[in-house]
Amino acid sequence: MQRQIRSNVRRWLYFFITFESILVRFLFIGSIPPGDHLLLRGLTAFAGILSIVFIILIVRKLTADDSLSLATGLILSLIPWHIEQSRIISPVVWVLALILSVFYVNLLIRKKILWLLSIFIIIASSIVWYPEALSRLTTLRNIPLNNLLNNLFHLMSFELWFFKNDSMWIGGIHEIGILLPSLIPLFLLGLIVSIKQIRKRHIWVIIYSLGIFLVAAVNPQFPEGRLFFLILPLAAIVLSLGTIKGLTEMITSKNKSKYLWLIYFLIIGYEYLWYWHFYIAHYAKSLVQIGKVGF
Amino acid sequence: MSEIPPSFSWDEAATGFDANSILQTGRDQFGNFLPSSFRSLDDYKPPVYTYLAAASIKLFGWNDLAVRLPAVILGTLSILGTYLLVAELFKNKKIALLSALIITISPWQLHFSRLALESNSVIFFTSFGTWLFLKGLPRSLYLPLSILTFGLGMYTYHSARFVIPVLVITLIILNYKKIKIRTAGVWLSGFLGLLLIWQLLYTATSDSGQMRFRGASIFTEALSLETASEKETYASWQKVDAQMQDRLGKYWHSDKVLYASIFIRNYFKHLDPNFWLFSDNDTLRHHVRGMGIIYLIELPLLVLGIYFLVSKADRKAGLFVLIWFFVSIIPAALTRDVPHAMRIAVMMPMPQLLIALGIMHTLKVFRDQRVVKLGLLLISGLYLINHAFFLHQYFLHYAKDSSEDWRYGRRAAAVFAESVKEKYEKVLVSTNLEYPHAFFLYYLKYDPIKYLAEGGTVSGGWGEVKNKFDKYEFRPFNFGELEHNNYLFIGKPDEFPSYVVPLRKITYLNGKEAIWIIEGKYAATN
Repeated sequence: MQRQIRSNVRRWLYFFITFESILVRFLFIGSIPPGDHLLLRGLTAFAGILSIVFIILIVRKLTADDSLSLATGLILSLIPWHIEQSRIISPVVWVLALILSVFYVNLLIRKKILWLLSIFIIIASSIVWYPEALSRLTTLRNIPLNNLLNNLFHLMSFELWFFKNDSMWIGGIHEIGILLPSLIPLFLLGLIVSIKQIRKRHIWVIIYSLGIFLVAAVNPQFPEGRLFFLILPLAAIVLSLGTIKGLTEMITSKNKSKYLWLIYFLIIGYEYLWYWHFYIAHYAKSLVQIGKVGF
Repeated sequence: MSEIPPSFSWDEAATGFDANSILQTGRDQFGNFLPSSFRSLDDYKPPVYTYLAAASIKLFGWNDLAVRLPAVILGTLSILGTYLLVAELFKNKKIALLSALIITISPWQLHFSRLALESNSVIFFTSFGTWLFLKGLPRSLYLPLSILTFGLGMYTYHSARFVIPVLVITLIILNYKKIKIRTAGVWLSGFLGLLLIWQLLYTATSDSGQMRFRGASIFTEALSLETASEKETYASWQKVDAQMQDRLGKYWHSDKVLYASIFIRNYFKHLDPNFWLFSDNDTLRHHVRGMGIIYLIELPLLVLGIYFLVSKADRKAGLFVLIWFFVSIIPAALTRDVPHAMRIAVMMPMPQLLIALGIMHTLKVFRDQRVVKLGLLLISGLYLINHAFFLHQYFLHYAKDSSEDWRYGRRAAAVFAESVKEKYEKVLVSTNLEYPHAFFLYYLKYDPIKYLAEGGTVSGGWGEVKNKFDKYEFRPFNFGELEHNNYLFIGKPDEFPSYVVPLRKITYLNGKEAIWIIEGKYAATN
């Protein structure tokens, strides 16, 4: 169901999401976590914000659904991993912004030659930024099947997604996963909704996802390696589908299940506040103690 | 059966000795008369398996085969139980037959059926108990049998004490309209149920009943390394919060939050595809190298099975299956050493049923019979390859790969020590060999009457130093302090200084040294 929002409300929501993204990414950018290279950090934060703006535009263009697009943007801006990477020097955030911007331009112009040029630009940029991962693809057949499957399943595991993100060991936050554990029900709900709504025209989503999984799995530094970060826009879409479904249930339900949903959303709120407390009070301190501040 | 796995585990050895002790004396190794819970290795094992092993020893003699035989028989009968349960639940003989076939060749069930352990045996009781309950809905005389079967299940394995009551309550709630309340069968089953619950509550709330939970749970003081590390991290955060005068700190880092997060994380570790397919983090006592607890082909079928169960199957049957599957993980999630294939074995045969549903409904999607036949051929071919690989790994490589995990070598050490013990004043066996008293008692086939007359087992705890019988003492020792005595020392190689020359070296099947047997410097020569 497409949900349209009045244009002035939409404008205010866009403003809120952009303002919140800027605040969360730029506030104390040099001290949490502590580090220099402020210019590069600023560029990464800007790239992170661009990725949020473009995902909103892309989802709106593809689905004409205001609620889904704004929810996706808001969720992407609040995903712990996205915040963490946007506040340090992280080339993968630049790559994400590049991919999303190129995709959006192609949606607007829709010329085959532009698509081909875009794919070339993205692959060329990726080779520059992540040569090891892409070179590994050429020796794919030498990777034992067991290892490849192991890595792929690790990328799909609850452990990585919700409990321990080990993709950036030195300096990364591995006390939580890509998403917070309390989001498991919403994420699973979103997965079910998206599987039911998937159509032939969404084949590019499947190809993109498989591509990210494969390239991340063959990375010689696995599990370290942040290429898997590129899956976040899709994760945000899935999560927003689940969240919209959950919120709709809570609002429209006439029985006591609405209170269960309310308690559940309060738990998510608590866990999110926990994350911020941890990020501000403990994460930065732990980095100072181990002396890793060069990023 | 006594060669693969290559050795008894400490639990099997303890069960084997207790079973014979019950047979000979009516008492366990601690002298308790016909206990309803076997203290064993201070883990207070539920009694059913040990009593069945006693019966088996009576018939076949005190040997490895007899001790493991009840597991084999119950594991085999579980296949019949699976068929009957699924046929009654879904009213579909094809799915029932397929489920039974899948569990027959299941690496998980196949391996655990060969071990003298309680975890796999419980499947017999849960599957038959459920079948009898469903049969008892139109004919209530089956219901008391069902309750008795479930009751025996609760006295077979610790996890079942949580899972079975949940299953029974679920069955009652889902079928309450069909239960004919005013019949003798229902009243009798109600009475039996209350009696069992009463006894179970009594056992569960007693000190002995809680010992196992205390010993293995995430709340115990003996924490796993991971939990201890997390606790330490939480403590350091609390300190920082206190320094920053953050009054809300106690709400962010309380113990309740910590244990809740550990439990949830442990729960989802059991749903990790890597655990199901490769089990890398689980001991080799639970699976063969290179494989997990299900075949590679089965994981996508399992996922499809869940999808089809939710979308197409009968709602009540589907709900019951899902509850059985997901609730079975809860007891394991409350323990250390996760993920743990044995502690979630109580969920069988639900995974196999889901796989069967996955196969059936996937093939139903295709209308062209040629495609269906091709699909069936493909699935059968893949199963054949997976199963052949498992059999190859299991019968050719498993014994050697896993001999260290199975603590191989204790039999050889015991038999050798027994042959030479007359020359020595004492035989000191190091507790670093992990519950050596259980191994020695079993492998030496020590007379339980004599053992109890000597005082029996003092304690089955990990580091217990007071257990002894005959000339054997089981405790840590400092070889340097005792080497001038007329003792025989049995321990791990790293417990002895480099200058000693072992009287006997015992190796694992992979060639690595497992046990050294050293005689004291002034040992008698004849």
